[in-house]
Amino acid sequence: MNRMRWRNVKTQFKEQKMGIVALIVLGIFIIAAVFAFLAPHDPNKIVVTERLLPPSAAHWFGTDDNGRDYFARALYGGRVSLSVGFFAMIVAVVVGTTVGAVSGYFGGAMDNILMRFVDVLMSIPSFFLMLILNAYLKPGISTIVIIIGLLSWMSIARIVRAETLSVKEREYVLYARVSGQSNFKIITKHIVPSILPTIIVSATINIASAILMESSLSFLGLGIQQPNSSWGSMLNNAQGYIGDAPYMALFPGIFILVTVLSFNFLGDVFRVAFEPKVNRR
Amino acid sequence: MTELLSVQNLKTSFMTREGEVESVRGVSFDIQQGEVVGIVGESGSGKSITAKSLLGLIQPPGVIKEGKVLFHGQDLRQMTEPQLRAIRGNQIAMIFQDPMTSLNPVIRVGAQMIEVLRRHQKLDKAGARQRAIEMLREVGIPSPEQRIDQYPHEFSGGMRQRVMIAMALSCKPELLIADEPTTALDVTIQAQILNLMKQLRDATNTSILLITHDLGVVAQVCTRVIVMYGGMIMEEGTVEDIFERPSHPYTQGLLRSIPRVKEGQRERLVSIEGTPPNLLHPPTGCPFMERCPHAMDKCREMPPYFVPEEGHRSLCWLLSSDMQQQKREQEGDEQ
Repeated sequence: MNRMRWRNVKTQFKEQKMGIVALIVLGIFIIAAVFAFLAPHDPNKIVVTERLLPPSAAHWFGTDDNGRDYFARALYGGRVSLSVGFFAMIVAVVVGTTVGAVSGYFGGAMDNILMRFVDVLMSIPSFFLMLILNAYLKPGISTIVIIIGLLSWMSIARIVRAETLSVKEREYVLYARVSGQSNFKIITKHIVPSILPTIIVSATINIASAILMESSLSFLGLGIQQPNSSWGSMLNNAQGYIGDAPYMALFPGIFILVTVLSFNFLGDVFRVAFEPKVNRR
Repeated sequence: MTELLSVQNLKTSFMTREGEVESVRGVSFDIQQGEVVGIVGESGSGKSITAKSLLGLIQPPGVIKEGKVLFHGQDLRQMTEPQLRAIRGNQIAMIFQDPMTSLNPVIRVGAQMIEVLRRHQKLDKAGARQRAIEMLREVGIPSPEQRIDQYPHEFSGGMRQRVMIAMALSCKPELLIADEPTTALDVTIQAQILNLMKQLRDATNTSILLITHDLGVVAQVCTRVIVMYGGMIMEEGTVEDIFERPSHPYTQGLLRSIPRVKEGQRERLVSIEGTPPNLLHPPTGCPFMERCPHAMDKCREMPPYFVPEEGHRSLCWLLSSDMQQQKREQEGDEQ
């Protein structure tokens, strides 16, 4: 990454106010998730006498059906949702970049095999595959991270492959070969750094979709298990009380919406910033 | 003088959807230690592909079909990738046409140079840096201590080509392959770079294989010239042979098509009529036949190399003993 590009990112943030808003919102969410332990209540402490209380000074977001403080649960839920999104993105980016770069760089049979594999994976409805896998594997945060990560790297691999194809024709890559550099070094030192902007953009969008996937899985009761919570599982829980306590659905729902939206805005800002000529609107 | 590089019957093809494009069709030549050999030819004549084939840089759909590339008597084509890697950049270095794109724009110039040095010369970081600075100074880059930490875009085109030369020569290669090193530069810079290459050659006794389409460049720096056309060597000889006694009609045509400035005279620029042969279906006879002013029936057959004088060879029937005889008779008649 060179300085020029970061300067572009800065100007782009200045131009697109939504980008700054998204950054601030995500900043707040991340800080809240990191410092969730400072919450005034224990998220898992059941107080039967305080069931389904509406938001008040003592319980900012009210309490749930088990009398647990909903604010604390939302904080901890955010921790789970955000970290699942982040780590699943890391898995997807690592796998996708590796497969894409190797496929694009070596070409030929290797490219063909890897890309057909990607095609096959992409043609399986990944959500159903996820449901099935989830039924066999022990539910938990790491399982979810791996499942989501391993089922969402294909589009990154395709993008990285396409970019690699164009970068590997640059003369400095040929020069690196001429000067005796190994293929591994060429990929890590010349190819991946040049397509880093693209990777960052797809990673940002990938976080958003990973968070959504996790929420959907948890909403169906297949993701994060009680007593832990994520925003998705909180939504699931809220289903039964939608008439009595609509705020129970409202808070996690809004959080998911705002988070995903923010990541998408952020991805957009990066995209325009890294390719200022192509994508100027 | 000993043979440094010997290329024997090199054939490189590209397997395209339309069929096999035979870019290099049996090229053989030698390079001696300390020699500057020029390969000239128009676009598509196979000169760059020849150079890339030497170092095994042909990528699919390209294939080297046949031939030997002997470097110090060892066939580079039989070597494994790791063995080749140890030679590339170390004993054989290469520089390209466009210095704007040969350097990675996001890595500092110094870091790129140091990496090559560390890999091949087993120098530590400080030593490699020292050497890189020395090399930059040697190729005439002012205040190399500061320049080394700059990015490629902070250098001008000529300066970048100097950096490339510094990089290529930093490991003291025995052979430098320069693929159109001055084509992307303007004329004054071109002269500077050529002088620099000559100086460095004199100082280090590095052999140079210079690929160009510019006969002026060849005349300035080369000792021997190879003229390529349609994937084959048409004529080879010393600079004097080629420029003063060209024996192949193609070479003669090339020399005639150099614009000359004569005082008070306005001349039409002579060009060679027609287009180069389609290498998808290469002609079985002389590749230049279609455009040759002296074409005759015999040209449908591939001529062998004739040797009009020692160290000079030419792929043309005009030099066969029969034809020479005829020519002499004709000249006799005229007298």
